[in-house]
Amino acid sequence: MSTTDSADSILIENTLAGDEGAFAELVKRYQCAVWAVVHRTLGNTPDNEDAVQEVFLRAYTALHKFDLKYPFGPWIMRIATNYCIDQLRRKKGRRTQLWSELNEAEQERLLADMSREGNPEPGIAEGTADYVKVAQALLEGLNPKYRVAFILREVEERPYEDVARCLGTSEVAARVRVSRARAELQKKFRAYLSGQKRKERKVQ
Amino acid sequence: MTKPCDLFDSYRDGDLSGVETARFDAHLAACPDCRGKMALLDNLALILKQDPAVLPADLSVRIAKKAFQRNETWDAIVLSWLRPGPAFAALLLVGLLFSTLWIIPNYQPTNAFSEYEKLLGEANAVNIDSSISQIQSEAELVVWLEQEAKSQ
Repeated sequence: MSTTDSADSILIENTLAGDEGAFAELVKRYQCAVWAVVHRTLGNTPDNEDAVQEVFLRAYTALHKFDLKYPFGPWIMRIATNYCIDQLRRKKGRRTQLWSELNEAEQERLLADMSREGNPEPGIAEGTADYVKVAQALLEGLNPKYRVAFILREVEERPYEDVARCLGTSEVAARVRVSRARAELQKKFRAYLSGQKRKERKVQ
Repeated sequence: MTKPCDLFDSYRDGDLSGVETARFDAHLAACPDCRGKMALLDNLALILKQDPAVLPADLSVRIAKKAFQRNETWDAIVLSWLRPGPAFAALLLVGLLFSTLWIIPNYQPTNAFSEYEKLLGEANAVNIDSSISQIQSEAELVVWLEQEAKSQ
């Protein structure tokens, strides 16, 4: 079992002793990882900064309960993933307006590019706005637990052991969630590709 | 029996042995379903890996400041007392106080006057009319007792 990094331990102890600078340093060490998960899970919204802030404030409130026998990274990531899952559940009713913004031909082109094998389209490699919207639309509606598991494994490229720790589940459960997310994404993508989902959205 | 498509996740996660990987490679070449899924996931991950949003430079300082400010507000202090340890101790104390009051509900300090009141109550109960019933305080009782002693 790995323990908290000694530098983290000192920062945590100093934070609990009332050192504001120590907490700022602790935030600095993990803010990129938290930001990445929040940004990729919730999408690029103006609220992301507030979300990162809320994750660290929750961590600060619970810091006295943190056991220094365990590493700090997965603990803060677990708070972040729980926060994201919470937010996704709350946002369930709201949908992004992707398909109404793009015409039929554009939608078909983007979707065809997404399923193209071999070298990716330059727009995909650069992550241009339209492709990001397609990606977000595909992730939307995915069970929040599967969505976070997918982001941690496929986008963050974390080992399953780490994914499990972040999700607070067993490694087997983490694998199942990622597998279901992949299968669900393929199913949704096929529906989009056939135009069925796009029509549903237009009706809505 | 496991179908070749069922090994998709193990293949993608790099969990297959060399022989199994070669076998799945052959399957992939013949299965448009698995190929399409692989391409979609590759492209999707690639798009999501791009992170155009830049982290604000002073975010960590602002977060720490807010955390410590929040710590000083009265509601945070009250909330801090709601932590399991102190909350349990407070509950235990309140419980002890209540149980003490409940166990000795009729407790009253005993003195001569309270004893007198008790006797008077008993006397009234059997309709004994006496000068003793005129006494209103402990001092008057003492005087009455002295007079009674002298008269005897």
